[in-house]
Parts: sequence; C-alpha cells; structure tokens
Amino acid sequence: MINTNLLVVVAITYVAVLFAVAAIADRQVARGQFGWLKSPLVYTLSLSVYCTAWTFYGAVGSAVRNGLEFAAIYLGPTLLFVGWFWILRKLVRIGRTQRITSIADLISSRYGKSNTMAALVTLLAVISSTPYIALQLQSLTISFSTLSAGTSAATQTATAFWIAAGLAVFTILFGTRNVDANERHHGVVTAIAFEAIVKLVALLAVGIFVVFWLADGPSDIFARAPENMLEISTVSGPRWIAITSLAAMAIITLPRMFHVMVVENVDERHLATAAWAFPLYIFLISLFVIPIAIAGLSTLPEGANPDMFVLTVPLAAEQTGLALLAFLGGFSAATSMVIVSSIALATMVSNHIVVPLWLRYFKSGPESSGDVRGILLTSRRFAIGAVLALGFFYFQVTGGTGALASIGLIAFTGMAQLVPALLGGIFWRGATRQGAITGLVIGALIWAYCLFLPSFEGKFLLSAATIAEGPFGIAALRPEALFGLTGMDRLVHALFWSLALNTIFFVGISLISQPSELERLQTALFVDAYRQGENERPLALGRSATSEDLFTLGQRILGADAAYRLFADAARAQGKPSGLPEPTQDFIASLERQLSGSVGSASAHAMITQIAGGGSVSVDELIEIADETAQILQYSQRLEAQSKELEDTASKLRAANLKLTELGAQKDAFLSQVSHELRTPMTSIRSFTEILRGVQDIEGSEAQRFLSIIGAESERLTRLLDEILDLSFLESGQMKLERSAVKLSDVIDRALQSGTSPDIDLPLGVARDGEAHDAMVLAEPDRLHQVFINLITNAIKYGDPVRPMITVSAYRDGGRVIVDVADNGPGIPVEAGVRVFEKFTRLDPSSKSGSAGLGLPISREIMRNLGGDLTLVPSQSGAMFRVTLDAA
Amino acid sequence: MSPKRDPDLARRALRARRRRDIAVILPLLGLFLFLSPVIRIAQGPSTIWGIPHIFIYLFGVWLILILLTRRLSRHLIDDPRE
Repeated sequence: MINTNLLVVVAITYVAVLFAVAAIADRQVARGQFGWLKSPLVYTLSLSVYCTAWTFYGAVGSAVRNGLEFAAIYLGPTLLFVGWFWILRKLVRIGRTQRITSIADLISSRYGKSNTMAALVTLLAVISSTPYIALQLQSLTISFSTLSAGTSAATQTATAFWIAAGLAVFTILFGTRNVDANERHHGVVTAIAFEAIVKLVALLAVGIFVVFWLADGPSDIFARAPENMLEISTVSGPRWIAITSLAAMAIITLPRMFHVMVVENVDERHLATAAWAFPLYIFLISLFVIPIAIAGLSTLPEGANPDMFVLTVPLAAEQTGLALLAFLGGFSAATSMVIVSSIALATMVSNHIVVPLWLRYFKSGPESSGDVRGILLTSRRFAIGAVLALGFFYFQVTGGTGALASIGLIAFTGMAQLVPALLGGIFWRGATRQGAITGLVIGALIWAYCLFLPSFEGKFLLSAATIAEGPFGIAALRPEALFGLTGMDRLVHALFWSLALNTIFFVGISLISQPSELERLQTALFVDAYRQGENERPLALGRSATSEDLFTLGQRILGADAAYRLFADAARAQGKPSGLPEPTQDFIASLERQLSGSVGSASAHAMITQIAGGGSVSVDELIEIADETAQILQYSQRLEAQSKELEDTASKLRAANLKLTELGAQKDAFLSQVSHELRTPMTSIRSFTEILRGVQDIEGSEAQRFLSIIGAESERLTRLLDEILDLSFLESGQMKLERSAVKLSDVIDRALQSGTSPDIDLPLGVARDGEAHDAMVLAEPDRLHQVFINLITNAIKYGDPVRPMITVSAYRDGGRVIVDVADNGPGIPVEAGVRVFEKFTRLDPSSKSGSAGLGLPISREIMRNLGGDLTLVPSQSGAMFRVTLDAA
Repeated sequence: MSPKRDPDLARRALRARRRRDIAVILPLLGLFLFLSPVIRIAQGPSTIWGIPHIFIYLFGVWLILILLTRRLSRHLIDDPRE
C-alpha cells in the first residue's frame, strides 16, 4: 500500500509537469516556432485520447469477463484508419476547407447551417458524454482508493471533487485562452501527446512485468489462463460484430475524437502517418491486456475487482514503483479524455446554444458595441465547468455503478446515431435536413429508451417494472425487447433498432423532402469536397451589405487586429490600396467562413444574415450544383481548352524549330561562302609568291607586276575581312551610330565624285529629280556616304555597259526623306529581289564586280541602324534602290 | 516523393490507380478476416510456443494490416490526383 500523501504529491507533481508542457508549447506557438508541434507524431499521439481510463483499467476487466471481446473496441478504429483514404480523409478535408469547429458544426453546416440540427447534436453529445466523463472520475477515484487502501466514502467524494476542479482549471486555462479562428489548442494537444506516451509506457511496463517477471514468458502466462477465457465465441457472433462497428463509428462521432482528428489537424498529410501509427498505438495498448488479466486471475484472491488489475497486480507483487507508474498511466488516460471532451463539448455548447440564444434575445443589430468574443470565452469557461460538474454529479448520483466498459459502450451507441446523417451528408447528394433531423431524433430516442435509461436500473425516469414488463405492461414495448425482439444482447438490440430506424427515416424523409437553396450549396461543398480546389472561386449566395457593417461584425468576433488584417488583405486582393474592401458576394462568403471558424457555421451564417439578408442562389449556380452532367461538361470544356493551348504551343514550337533549322543552314552557307571568298585572293597571293620564289631569272618589270598583284589581292582580302567584321558588328547591334543633321546633297555629291573614280573611263550620265536634294536628314555622314557610294558603284556596274546613266531622285514623304537611285541596266528580276540583300549574293556570276557581295547587306544594316531603310523598288527598267531617312 | 519515380506516365497512373484500389480493399480484407466466420479457423486449444492460435491470429492479422497500411499510405498522400 502507498501512503495517501505520497500519492497526492505524485499526482500534483504530474499535473504540474502537464501545465509546464502545455505552457511551453503555447509559448512556442506564440513565438511562431512550431517545430515538432506540427509533426505527425504529435497528431498521432493526440489521437490516443481514444484510450481513456476505460481502456487503461476497463480493458483488463472486460478481458476477465468476456475474453478477447475487448479487442473489438480497438479493431473497429483500426479498420477505419486502414481505410482512411475514403472516410477520414474526406472528413479532414471538409473540416479544413469549411473551418469546422466540432462534429455538431459539421453536420449542421452540411444541412444548410441549421441551428436546430447543431443544437440537437450538441444535446445528444452532452447527454452521452456525461456518463463517460463520470466514468473517468470514477476510475480515478477508485484507483486512488485502491492504492491508498481503506479510504472512507467521504474521502472518495472529496478526491473526485478535487480532481474535477483541477481538470476544470487546466482546461479553462489552456482550452479557452483565446477564440482562435481555427479553434486549435497547441498547448492542450501537446499535453495530450505527452500523456499518451505516459499511458503507453505504463501499460507496457505492467505487461512486460507480468509476462517476464511474474511468469516465465508468454507460454507460461497462457498456461495459467482459465479454460474458457479465449473461447472462440468471444470473437465471433453478433456482439463481436456490433462492438467492432460501434467502435469504428465512435471514432468519427465522439466529440473528443472529432476534435483531435479533424479540428486540431494542421496538415492533411499527418493523416497518412496516423493511418498506420494510431492502429499501432492501440495494438501495443491491447497486446498485454490478456496477460495482465490472466495474471490477476491467477495471483489475486477471488473477488478482487478485475477493473483494477493493472494496479493491484504490481501492488500484490510489492512493486510500489510500478504500481505508481500504472497509477500515473491511468491518471493520464482519464485526464486527457476529460480535458479534450470538455473543450469539445464547451465549444459546441457555446457555439450552438449560447450564441444563438444571445443572437435571438439580445439582437440589437451589428452596430451595437457588444463584444461577442467576450461572450464566447465566458460561455466556454462556464460550459467546461458545467460539463465537469455534470459528470461529477452523475458519479455522485449513480455512486459508480456498473462495470466500466458498459458505460463506454452506452456513450458509443448514443454518438453512433450521428453516423447516418454524417456519412450520408458527405457521400449522398440527396440527403436533406428534414431527413437527417428525423433520423437523428428517432435514433436518439430509441437509444435513450432501450439502452441509456435502462442503464440506471430503475433509478431514473424508467422504473424497474417498466424495464422488465414494458410501459403499462405492454410487452411489445419492453425497452430491452422492443417490438417483441427477444433473445438478443441488450447492446446489440439497442444498436440494431436505433441505427436501423434512424437510417430508414433518414433515407425515407430525405427522398420525399426538398432541400433549401443554402442546403444545396452546402451539399455541393461537402459531397464534392475534393473537387473544390482552394484557389477556385467558391460558390456563394448572392447577398449585399455595407462594408462598414461587415467590419463591425468582424471586429466583434475576430478582434480588432485580426479583423483589420483580414479586411486589409481582402481590399488589397481586390486591388484597393486602402480602405475597406468592396462587399462582394465572394468577400461576404469568405468572411462567413472566417467567422464560422470561431462561432460555428450556423451562428456565423445567422450573424451575416442579420446584416446581409438571406440571399439567394443564382440559376446558373443552382445548375452548377445540382447537375453533375453540367460539372462533367465544364470539366471536359476545361480539358478542351487545355488541349487547344497545348496544340498552339506545339505549332509555335514547330515554327521555331523550322526557323532554327533555316538559320543553321544559312550560317553554314555563310561560313562556306566566307571561306570560299577568302580562298580566292589567298590562292593568287600564294601562287604569285611561289613564282617569285621559284623562278630565278625573272624580269624586273615582271616581278614588279606580280608584286602589285599580290598587293592588290592582299588589299582585297583586308577589305573583305573589314566588311565581314563591319557586317557582324552591325548585325549584332553592338554598333550604335550617332545621328546628326546632314545636308543630303553634300553626301550625294561626295558619293558621286568618289563613285565615279577616274579609273572608270566611261562617260557617266547623272540626272537629278525631286525637290528634296537640299533637305537636312538625320544620319551619320560617313556611313551614309558609304551607302550611297555602294549604290552608285552598283548602278555603274550593272548599268548600261556603253552609256551608264544614274538617276538620283529625292522626295519628302511626311517626316521622312526618300532617295531613289536608279540605273539604266537590265534590272533585277522580281524573283531575285529578295536575294540581293543576302550576303555574298552576286546575281550574275560572270559579272565584273570585284566585291564579295557584302555591299548591299552592309548598306541595309547601316540604314536600319540609322532608323531608316534600304529597299529594292520594282521598276519598269533598270534597278532602283530606295533609301529612306528621317528628316532632320 | 519517392526518388525513383517511373518516367513512364501511363505506368505511373496505373500504379496510382492500383494503390487507390488497394486502399479500398485493405479495410474490406480486415473486415473479412475479423468479422466473418473465417476467424473460427483459429479456434481450439492448440498453441504455438504456448500461445493460443486465436491470440496469434488476432494480433498477427492486426500487425500485418498495420504494416500494409504503412507501405501504402506514404504513396497515397503523394498522389497528385485529388
């Protein structure tokens, strides 16, 4: 036995550690350092709030009474998590996108944000959770008295009271610190994760002790098992199936499980880890239950309470330390359940009962100065206290009757009534509010009548006689044999009737009732949760309100700072640099979602409706929601657009590729041309050098002639290289020509003089035409000169061989000056017109030109560089080139 | 993201669909092994290393389901399809 004082000290120290863990986590979050707080491990461990004192102590008790049956409670959740991809993932996705705060919020939000629905679910949750919370207080008290032995009833009551009070303080401190837009409590979750480790370690320690110290390994312990313990009938038959499915349903509907799994989820990917890690956790928790049960049965005296074997087995073996660890494990299991349950229930009560009542009775419009946040926080704190007080009184009234496990299963069955509405809501388009409410009410009534009230054994509402004989002696209405269905286990019987009638009414009424517009909108959001991308425009009701009213409302619920940030962001997103955003439908809808993160969707909707009106859905949107074909059509249209886009890109790519190939070919041609052009003068230089070197008796004048040829060829080579360099410079755009005002006639005159050099002994005729010869143009004089020389020498070269004639005409054309240079030669065929500007082009291979064919390309580059152009003008006779210039 | 992704898109899509199929089948397999009369094959007093068959069956199937889910989940969550 352990000294009571020591036990109190240990418990208080442990609670202090919990406070510290929660405080540190909260502080880290406040600093923005999430680190491991956001890891999938913490998420998984927080899910272990499923394992309450009922697991910690009750599983062994259940194993003693029903063998392996206890495992069903853990196999159900295992199967659900193994299939996480289908149900859990959708729940989490909806919870995140719709900012769901509780199971009541999810269901009411799906059915048109109905407050009635939310209140009903809240009521059911409170009723079925109260015995469950009482169960935790009871197991804490019993464990306390078991360890410290022989405490009086008064001490037990005091213990339970102080435990409840302490838990209320912890929960209020860390669970209602603020009204968070996401309803997340990092401190609490971290403390719960810490407790999860403690209870796992404690149970594993007791298990390993039992198997390897008390006994010689597994075979020894199983050899001591009572004969019928592992009967096959405990793991087959209706009760086994019922409990497994019940546990699977409970894991998504119990308020505390929904809270840690959906509301506190920070990352959907964590679910993928929890999908195997949580089943592994409960696997480890269950592994030693049977060995501990066997050890208790074989070592403890007859009549020892099997629900306390986890404590009494180590205690009987005088392992005080181990017993203390086990006590802490049970303490963790019970406290974590109570903390999370009361937070979840308090959120539901304040969002779905207090706020709607406040809205109805103190409705004074959004202008009133009341702070909703204050009301929310206060109501939540009171609700936590009330929930715990309710649990405490339940424990006092019933005096801790019944085995632990049966109370848990009663709560499970109560919450399982939400399953038809929940699953129908997220998978079935046709589910309606009326159907859901009718099914839920009928299921809950049958549950209360057949299972919950009879569990008081005649002490509450139903008398013992009514339970045994039926009301007024009507046998067909006996609570445990409804409609004459006898011979069934009490639990299976209640589960069967309640769920069957619940589902039948849910489906039946849904098929004959009409959903409202808002409900259809919500249906689309829930059933097609995966299709609602976060960046896609969400469906919205057509409503209108003033931005000022919306801002006032936002301030009162989110707080001044948060509301200011939200509105400023929205204004910026709408492209307004300052001030309030436009009250568009989209903005109103997104504000409502933000608010629902704090007060639940039904209340948020009611508040927005107060100032923005009920709104309606446009015909287009109704079609979009209702018509799956339309959605598929839309989808295929999107695909079509995408494929067209792809086609466009492909054809562009093809064109680019073609051009690249062409350019590559051009480059190759250019290179071969260049080498060819360079080779000709090189060859003649080399051959004449060879002659000079090889032939001794060469005449002086002959040698002189050879040398002058070599000189001329080298000059040509140099000129060619200069031209190539020049062209590449011009083409690459590296050369920037300085423009200045130049008199046109000066340049042309100079070019005519140098173009008609004395070595051309033909009589050249020059004619001038046009009025703009004296115009001032913008150009670089030397470069422009170069262009004209080129044109004039070309004109002489290709003009009439006997009487060459050049006509230079200058005109004004707006702000430009046009100069045409024409010759009287044979002209250039139209099809060759494009090629004259290509490099190394000589139209007539036999022509007498001495140049490499770079003159025109260079001239054109110069003109373009000067902001003008050089083009070939088709003409009747002779070739005509046109120079375009900017007038000064 | 696994480092060695198959470059063949068609094969990858096929594999992703198969994974989603397994995600449905796995819980159904669990249901079958736990809730159908198939569990009765483990009845009787016989033992392996002193541990009754039914205990090994129950916890063995449980552990295998956990391991399979672990293998599957990592790929499922990386599935780009919603």
